[in-house]
Amino acid sequence: MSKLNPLLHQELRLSIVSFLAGVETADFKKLMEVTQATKGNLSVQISKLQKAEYITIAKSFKGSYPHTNCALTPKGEKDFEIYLKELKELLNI
Amino acid sequence: MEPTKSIEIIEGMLLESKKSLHRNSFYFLVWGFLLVPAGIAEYYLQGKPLFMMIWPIVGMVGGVISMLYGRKESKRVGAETTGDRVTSYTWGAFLVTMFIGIGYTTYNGLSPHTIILLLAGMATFISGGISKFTPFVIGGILLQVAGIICAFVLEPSYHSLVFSAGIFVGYVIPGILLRRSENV
Repeated sequence: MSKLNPLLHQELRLSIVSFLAGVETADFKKLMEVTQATKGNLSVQISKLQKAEYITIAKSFKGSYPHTNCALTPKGEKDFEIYLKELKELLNI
Repeated sequence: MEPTKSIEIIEGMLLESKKSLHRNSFYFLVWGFLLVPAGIAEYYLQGKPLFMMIWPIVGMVGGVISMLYGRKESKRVGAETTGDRVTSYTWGAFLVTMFIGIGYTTYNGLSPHTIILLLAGMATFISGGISKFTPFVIGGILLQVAGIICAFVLEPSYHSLVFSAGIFVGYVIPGILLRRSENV
């Protein structure tokens, strides 16, 4: 189990990356809704994923409200595929 | 975290992302309920002064309603899939080509219904394929059939009635069916 990518092998970060793998972009509110995470915890985890260049974060304004949009990067996509492959090998599926 | 838990998370999240997020039935129903009576009205008002004014009025009303709803929806949904992007590009291309087609046909004294039905059929067919919603695939084919009838079978004075019938089977009926599935 130790060889699994530790950045992805964490519940909330894996949820974020898995969701983003299925869509092109998702905003902060949507990620909060699908992951059921708190605002603070989600902020911390998406920052870690951004630092690792797994996701991009685009901040803008929708009307007078700040809007944060996240998307998976090619690096994030590639490492997610590797993680999935290793996971399947580990479970023999 | 156990590897089995990881698999559960991945499956759950991918399933969540594949859910139909946008409620597209609204657009088909709004345009359907505007265009069907407009086509019938055109048939009965043919030859009367300013009867063609029905279309710019209907176009403006539908356009404003669709734009306001689209803005509200994008705020609510909060995510965009490749399918959403392909769908919006398809309908964007439909709109531009339709205006060019209307300009070309009216300039040359032809009925514009044929080109609109053929284009609407193509866009509806693609939308149905992307969303895997068969009633729209069938609706798209029926719109094309209505376009062929206008092009080769009936004289122009009946085109507006064929147009209304085409929109009814291509937009309204699949729109109602989609609305029901969205409300489940």
